[in-house]
Amino acid sequence: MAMELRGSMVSPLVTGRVQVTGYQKLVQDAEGSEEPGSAHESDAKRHAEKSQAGSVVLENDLKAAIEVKFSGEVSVIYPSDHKFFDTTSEMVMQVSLRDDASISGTCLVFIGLSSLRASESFGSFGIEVAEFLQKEQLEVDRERELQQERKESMNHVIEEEIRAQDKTWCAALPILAFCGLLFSGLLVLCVSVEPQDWASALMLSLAVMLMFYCMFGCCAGTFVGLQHLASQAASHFATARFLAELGPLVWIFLGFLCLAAAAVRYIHAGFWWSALMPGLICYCASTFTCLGEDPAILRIGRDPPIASVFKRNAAERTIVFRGSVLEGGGPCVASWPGKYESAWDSLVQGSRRGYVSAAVVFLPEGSEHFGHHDPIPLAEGLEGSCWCVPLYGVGVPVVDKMDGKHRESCC
Amino acid sequence: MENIEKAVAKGAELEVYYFKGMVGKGKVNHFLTAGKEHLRRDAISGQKKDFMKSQGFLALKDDLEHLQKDPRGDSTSQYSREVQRLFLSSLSEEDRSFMEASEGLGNSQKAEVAWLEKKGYAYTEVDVSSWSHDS
Repeated sequence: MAMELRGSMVSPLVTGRVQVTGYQKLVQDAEGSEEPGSAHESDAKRHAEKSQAGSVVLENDLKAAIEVKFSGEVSVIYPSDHKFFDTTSEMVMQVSLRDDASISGTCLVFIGLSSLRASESFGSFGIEVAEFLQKEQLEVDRERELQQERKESMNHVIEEEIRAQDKTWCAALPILAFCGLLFSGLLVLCVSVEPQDWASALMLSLAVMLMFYCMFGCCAGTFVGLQHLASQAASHFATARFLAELGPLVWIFLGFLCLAAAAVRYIHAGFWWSALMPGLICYCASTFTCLGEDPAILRIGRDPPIASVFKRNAAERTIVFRGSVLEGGGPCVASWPGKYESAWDSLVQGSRRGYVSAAVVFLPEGSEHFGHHDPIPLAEGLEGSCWCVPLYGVGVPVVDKMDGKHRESCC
Repeated sequence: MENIEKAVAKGAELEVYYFKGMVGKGKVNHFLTAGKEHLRRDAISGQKKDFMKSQGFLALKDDLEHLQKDPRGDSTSQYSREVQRLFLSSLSEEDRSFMEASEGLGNSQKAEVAWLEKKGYAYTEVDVSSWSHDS
């Protein structure tokens, strides 16, 4: 029952809005249909009743939507659905494929005929639809394969890039860690020295600040590298990640303690003004760490792992395409429909290998120049600050969705 | 645009690729109306979200589920094409004709082609399916 109603519900949407009232009634009927258990029995009973009353049922046993023209009405029947048609006299029923109207078939419907099947009752229509679907399935399979290849190729490039980063971090980490410890030691040393006069107080204060900044830089670098390597080795260990993120904060906190100790020492020695510099740093840093809308201390474990940020950046770099116009007067791709992704991919590969000339670009979101507006040269004599205005009617970048990223359109 | 200028300076033959079977279609009427047409397309396309929440569409949802959802080379599937057809049929005659006439080139392509024509640069119209066969 419900299926029959749904089959006839399509008609108003296809033929226009004039049948809205009837359509709403059908929706209400569908909502008020009987218990699921009795549906099949009721459907069969209704079929029998309709047949006696001069109706024919058309069953869509194809795996595609079909459009039916019968008795001046146009309706759509989806796969596994069926629809009843009243037969008051001999009439021709025409069916066509929704995806390709050139594939169609006809059948003479007469009183007494009770059922039709889309695959068998309309001449070669069923065979043509099957061929169409087979071709479509081949395209879908090929697209799936190409997507998989793209994904694997992208992963390979990303892995290569990550490996290169790993090597860099492995070389830099010991140096950064050593320097961090060295500056930490020097910081402690500076703090432990008692200022004797205003000149030594000023020098010590400057030295404390300098050591703190150096220590801060080395410490941050060390832990970014550590976190990157740790997440590569064991990306699933949340605890390791947590410790790697907590580590720099603890180290830097100890640095703040040194600054606070220096400030106390300078005030105690009577050089209160020299305590201003370390005090100011403490104030700013503690505000950043513990206060504000999104304090750093609360972001621990919540920010995306550094490795995933590196991966994302690497992925963006691999799909950025700025075009490459070859020398000579051969063909050059000037405009490309972005929805043909696999074909676009082969264009990009061809261009990178130097045998396809392409003036088109692809700038994913986040890449350099994404969203930058290209000003209109004065010689063009057009209104607007950038090309977006005359081309898109707006002063903001317009983008086409493509592969989950964006293709910059104008600027 | 810089790349195009470079290609023109090098005497290259510019090629504009169209959707499969739609060579020459989907261009804007004139460079000066490109912005206006884009905004209109945008406004009509924006109605699709509401359409997909409408009672009429939701009543068909179960039936539509029987259609293939995996995309082919043009990123469309049986399902997405049927939804688009239903959406277009829900529009007024005027809007539907406008949207159907704009099929053939992507959004940014319409602007690119309008600009090529404004500059008077000659270009060849090519069916994207010919690229698939070549590559």
